[in-house]
Amino acid sequence: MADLFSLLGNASASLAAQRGLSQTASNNLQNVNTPGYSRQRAELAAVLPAERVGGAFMGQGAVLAGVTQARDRFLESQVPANLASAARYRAQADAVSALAAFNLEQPGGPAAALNGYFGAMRVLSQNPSDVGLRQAAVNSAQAVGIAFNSASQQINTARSAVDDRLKGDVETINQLAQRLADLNKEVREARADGASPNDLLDTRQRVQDQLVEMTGAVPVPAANGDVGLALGKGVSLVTGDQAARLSLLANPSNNGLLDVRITPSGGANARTVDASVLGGSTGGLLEARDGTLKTALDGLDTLAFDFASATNAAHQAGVALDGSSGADLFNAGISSAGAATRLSVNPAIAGDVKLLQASDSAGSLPGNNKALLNVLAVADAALSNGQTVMTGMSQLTSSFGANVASAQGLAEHHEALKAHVEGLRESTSGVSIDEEMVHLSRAQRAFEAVSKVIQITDQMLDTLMKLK
Amino acid sequence: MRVTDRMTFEGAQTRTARSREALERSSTEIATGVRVDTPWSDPGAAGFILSQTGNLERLAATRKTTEQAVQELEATDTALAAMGDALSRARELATQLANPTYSATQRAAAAQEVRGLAQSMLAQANVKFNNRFLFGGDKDGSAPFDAAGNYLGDSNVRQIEIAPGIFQDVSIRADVALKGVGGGTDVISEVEALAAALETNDVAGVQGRLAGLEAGVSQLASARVQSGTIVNVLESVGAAAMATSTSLAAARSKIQDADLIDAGTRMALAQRSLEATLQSSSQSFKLTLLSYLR
Repeated sequence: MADLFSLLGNASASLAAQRGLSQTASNNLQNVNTPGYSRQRAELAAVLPAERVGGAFMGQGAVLAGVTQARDRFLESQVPANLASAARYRAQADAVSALAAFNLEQPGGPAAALNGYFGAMRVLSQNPSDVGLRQAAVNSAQAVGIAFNSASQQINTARSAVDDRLKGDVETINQLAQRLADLNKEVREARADGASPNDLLDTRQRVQDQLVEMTGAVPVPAANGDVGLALGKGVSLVTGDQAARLSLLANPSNNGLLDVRITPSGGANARTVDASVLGGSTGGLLEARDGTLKTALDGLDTLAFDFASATNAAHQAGVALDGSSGADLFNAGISSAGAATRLSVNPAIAGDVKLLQASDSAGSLPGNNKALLNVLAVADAALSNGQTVMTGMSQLTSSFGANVASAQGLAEHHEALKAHVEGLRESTSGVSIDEEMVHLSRAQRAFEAVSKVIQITDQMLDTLMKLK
Repeated sequence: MRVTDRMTFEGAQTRTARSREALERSSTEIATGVRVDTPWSDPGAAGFILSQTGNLERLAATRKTTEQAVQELEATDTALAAMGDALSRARELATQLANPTYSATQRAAAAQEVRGLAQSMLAQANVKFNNRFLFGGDKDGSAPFDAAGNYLGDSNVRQIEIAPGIFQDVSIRADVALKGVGGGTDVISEVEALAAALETNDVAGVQGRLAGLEAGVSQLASARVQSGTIVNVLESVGAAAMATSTSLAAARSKIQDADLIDAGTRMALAQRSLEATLQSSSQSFKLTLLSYLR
């Protein structure tokens, strides 16, 4: 039969188990605001084997069997895709919606400048010999150049801003990828004795989530408990305890903007990766820079080039007040690439408005306006894309707006999905203060009860000791 | 569903942010009176708004141009009227002094008046408006008539665009109206010839000028009719542009501007929603076991 001393020993072990219960609840409470923390549960078990006493088994108290995490693997498998998509579209939407060049109320925008230019030319056509009206028309032409320059500058600045962010993000991704690889190793080592390294697992999950958000990588669990990360097209970012490295390299064929390159963990040659490989916020940034923003810039360049070419063709045929002919009104270069940045009024005409070639004949100066009417006809002429300059401007604005609206809509949609699955994950793994207070109270009660057992056992021993 | 404290707090945060965003949006809409201010507010509407703005600007420029042309044509008409009056007076004197009963002295005195009339017609023919000579055709930078009455201008008529691809004359041919090119009468020369006949007491010569002076009066009247017709056309164009502008501006406003009643309703709803969110969040924050455990 169990003696009183073993009773004391069992109670002491049970006290430790209750203390484990209270410590776990306390740990949960202290981590209630820790991102990525999964609540832990102390699992108590009866001490085995029970002691055989005569025909009965006498229990020997309770012991802390382990501390587990409350996690739902199915729910967690839903999280990465939503994290990546939400981050991708949010990054894209934020990068493009910062651009104000196409805002309708933007003073000095290309559309307003073109309207002003055609208006001034129209007024001049009524009295082409008036130097004041000529000056107003040339000023309005200069305003068109400045508006296109400014809009293209704003787009280029928005694209460069993406590069600035990429510089920081790539460094962060490299650090996180290496950290994940290291954590895989640490988790493997910690599991060697059979225990579950819950806090390490939480840390790894947190690092994994950050990487997924930034790269759109898909977690690939390995049989040994490691978590790998694979980018699009099967490109590996992390495998076991090895991590690939991202780097940036200026691409001369893309205005010197930065390409993202990846060097596999084995040290093979670096290769360029685009948004089809990189997802998440990095992919979203690349899509914004080389998709929506580049499309807008190309459209603006084409519009500027076509407008300048058509205007120049009409203007060249005209005659200036000094009888000269053949000059361009606008300078936009010889190709559409970069035309919006270059668009400017011929400096000779800007310096002397009498050189504006409004007449179609040197013999009918200065009041002839026929060349000017041809310059004005550019407003209604179909340019290279089959649209007029104003229709092209409208379409460019609408198209840009639709792209931004689409990115914003997708961002909100995926953020809602992300919030939903994160809510479900939080529902399973999050800490409830009420619950933990109950657990704490329960542990306290049990601790008090077991303490009472010790006290009573001690009294019983005392009684025995006092027997005469 | 198991609800954790984080879910309670984050949910309250999200709901409050959404309510505040809706409130901010409707409030901004009311404050600015604009519903579509960025291309992504309503991409389809943004293109339409730009296109309508372009059309409105074009109509405004057309109105301004036609108004200027009308002012110029009115100045032309004033000059033609003055020349017509002078020519009529010359014709009146010619009719009177073609009568043989008048003496040479009386004809010489009339000749002085007729010379003055010719000079005043020449001055009118060289009239400037907005710093340009009205009767010089495209050569409007210098006087179209020299002191001898020779025409130095050209036969061009200026046009302006009143609609895409549609052009309207905004001047008359001075060589036709004043010099009679194409079979008409050189009105100033007729008056000068009358003066010469009067000075030389040439009764037959004075009588011979009557038909030319009569034709000149008709010619100037025709020029005024032509000028008036153009003014009518331009005023119609201006009025049509104004009417179209009003309707385009209304269409643009309907798309771009905020519906204040709708925005006000949404703002009231957003305010109510925010109040409810804050109230319910405040209540749910209070409900915790911590308040009861001692």
